[in-house]
Amino acid sequence: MDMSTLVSKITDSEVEVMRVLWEAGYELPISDIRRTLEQTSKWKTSTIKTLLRRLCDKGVVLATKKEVFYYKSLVSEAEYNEYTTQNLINRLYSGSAKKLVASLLGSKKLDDADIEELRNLFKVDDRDE
Amino acid sequence: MNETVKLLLSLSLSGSILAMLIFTLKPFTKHKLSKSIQYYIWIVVLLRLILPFSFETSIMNELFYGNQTPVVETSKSKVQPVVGTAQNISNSNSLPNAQENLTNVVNNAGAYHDINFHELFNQYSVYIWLLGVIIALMVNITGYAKFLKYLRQSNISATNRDKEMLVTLLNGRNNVRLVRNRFLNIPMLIGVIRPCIIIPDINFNEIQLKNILLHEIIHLKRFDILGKWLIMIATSIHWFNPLMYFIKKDINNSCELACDEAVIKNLSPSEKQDYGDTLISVVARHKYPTGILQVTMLDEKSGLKERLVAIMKHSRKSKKVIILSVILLGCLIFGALYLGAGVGTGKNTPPYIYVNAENQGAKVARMGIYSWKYNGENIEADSDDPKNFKYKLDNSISVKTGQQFVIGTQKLKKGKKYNFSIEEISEYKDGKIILQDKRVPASFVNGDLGMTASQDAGEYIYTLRLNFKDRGIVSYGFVVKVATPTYNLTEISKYKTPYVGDNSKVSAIANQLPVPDNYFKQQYISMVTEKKPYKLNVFYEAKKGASHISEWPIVDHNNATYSIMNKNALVLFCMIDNLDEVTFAFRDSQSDGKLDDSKYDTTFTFTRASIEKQYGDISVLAGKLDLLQNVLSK
Repeated sequence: MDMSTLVSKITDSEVEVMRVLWEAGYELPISDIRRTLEQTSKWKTSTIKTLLRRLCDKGVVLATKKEVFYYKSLVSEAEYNEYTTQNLINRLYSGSAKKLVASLLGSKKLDDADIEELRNLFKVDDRDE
Repeated sequence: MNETVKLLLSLSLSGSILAMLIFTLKPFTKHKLSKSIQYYIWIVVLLRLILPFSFETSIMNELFYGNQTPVVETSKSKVQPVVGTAQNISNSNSLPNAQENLTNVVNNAGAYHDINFHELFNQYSVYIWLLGVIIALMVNITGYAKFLKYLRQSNISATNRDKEMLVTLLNGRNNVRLVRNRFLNIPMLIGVIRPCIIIPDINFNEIQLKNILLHEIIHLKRFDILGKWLIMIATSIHWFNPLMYFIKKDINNSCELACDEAVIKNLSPSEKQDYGDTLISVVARHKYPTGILQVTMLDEKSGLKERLVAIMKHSRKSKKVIILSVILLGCLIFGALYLGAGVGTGKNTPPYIYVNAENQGAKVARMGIYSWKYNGENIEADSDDPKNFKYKLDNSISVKTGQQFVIGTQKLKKGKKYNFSIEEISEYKDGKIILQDKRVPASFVNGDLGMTASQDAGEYIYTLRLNFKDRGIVSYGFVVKVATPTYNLTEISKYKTPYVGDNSKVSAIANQLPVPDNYFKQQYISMVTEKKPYKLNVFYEAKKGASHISEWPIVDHNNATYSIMNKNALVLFCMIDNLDEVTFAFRDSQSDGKLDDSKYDTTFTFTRASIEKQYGDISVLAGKLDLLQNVLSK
């Protein structure tokens, strides 16, 4: 899986947890994460645990077992922001923006088989002129 | 049906008929006609959908306004009007036959006041439509604006190679910017006023770059972005028309095909091959994040396939085909004009005439004989003379002597305005015509006719023959009840005082004097009592929530306001012994709790001498109240 696929699956709540990790800049135990999140949200420890587990499952956060579990972000904030902007632009384009723009092609991707088919089809006849 | 709804449906129907025609012809014309012509044909349809322009004899106008076959009213048993027995409003038992031949006309006027369910629905349908339009426009424009905003954040400047290529292709003309974008996957042209080509930040080779730029430059030169806006506006206006979504798709398709055609027109076969290959390679590079890809890709593939086939099959069109194309385009434009729109400039019945006076609801004049041109037909409606009509309260207006009233085709400044000229105006009192030199002539103010009520109290029937240019001549009638302003002299005389300085008595008198019309109320008084001449100022201002419909401020003396103030002055001189001069001041607005002289823009001043000159010795009148009452009621 490439980076964009990883990032695309992070939900808004999970981003809140990610922010704590980004802000710290180093790995944190769950007690620290909870302490920071307590100021901004009403999440219970179990909720935070679930969010962290999901992030680990998605491969965005790495958990290392020392005396307790330490969590570390594998995606930087900059990478995440880059991705969201790109995602936003593409969404807006596929939505209403496409209507007011003259583009070379449509907005949807074709798979390799389709492209191969088109390549084989497209042969301009030399005797044409 | 509401006129807006009619117009809208007629535009939608017109456009749809043209579109259906194009869809039907498409299998035959698709590969024969040039793609540009096919695109222009769609532009004609778009304009038909947007522009409410139409000839009056168009099919749509006929369809939406022509089916109201006019009822021609005739009165075979027409009663000869006999002066003296003619009926007016005070005469409630009318002759049965006279009533009968007027029934049609009565219904005509009465129907206007019935707001039925159908009408209500039509009113709401306009708002529902408008809401749809606003939502569609908002979604599209905000989406686009957001897109631009985020795009701008991620734009990076194009390489020198890119820029040089663009300049070469544009032949030195440089009216378009070129930037690269890190996140964009497809090259595009954006903006109408400040166009900008944006290409993905990918290492294109020379040939690819050239082809991409060529394509976008052609879009630029053909003003295709303007076309895109037209499509967006048309689909927003006709959101309720399902055909619009097919039309939109086909226009976008033919726009690209026409653009490709213009690009490859002068290319050699190998260059054409390169151009098509570029299209394929851009789509192959087209990396997309997951999550947006759920939508079917079949569309995209068939669209691109169609373009590639068109490039392969492209051949120069023979002269015959070009001539045929132009003829077809001409036919379509003619068709679009002929189909037209339901603009409804023509009505099969003449407009209503409304009579408005200060602070009264608009009254409707009754329609009499008319001859009316509609859609080339001439409609004659026979009826009795308006002077013999039986008028209802709805057709009569109450005014004071000399008061101004306004007649026009608009009800309280709402509705369609028709211009007219006067053929004839007659005024009857007690069945007798009033000679022209006894009347104040009517005058036009902003297309409405301003008239002045008689100086004598009573009931008047006005009959008008109005000429609506190119449409016909219509006769109307209405009643004007003229009342003299009343003075309760027994009450007023209780406050009779020798001194103008007697504030409470003077203000009580001023307060009981009649106001010129219901629009004004008397609010303040002020006096000059230090030295002779002793003066009194009486101030009038607008009532809360009242609106002024006739001319204001008043300049001449030939009006109700002046004549009432003249009589008020007489009463004041009779009631206040040492008063030398009185001024009545008016403002067309409300005061804010204190007197501000500068806000009063209309004043009438009377001196004791000028009033005596007019009415004779004031001390005589002041002594005998019945004598004064007599003078006042004249």
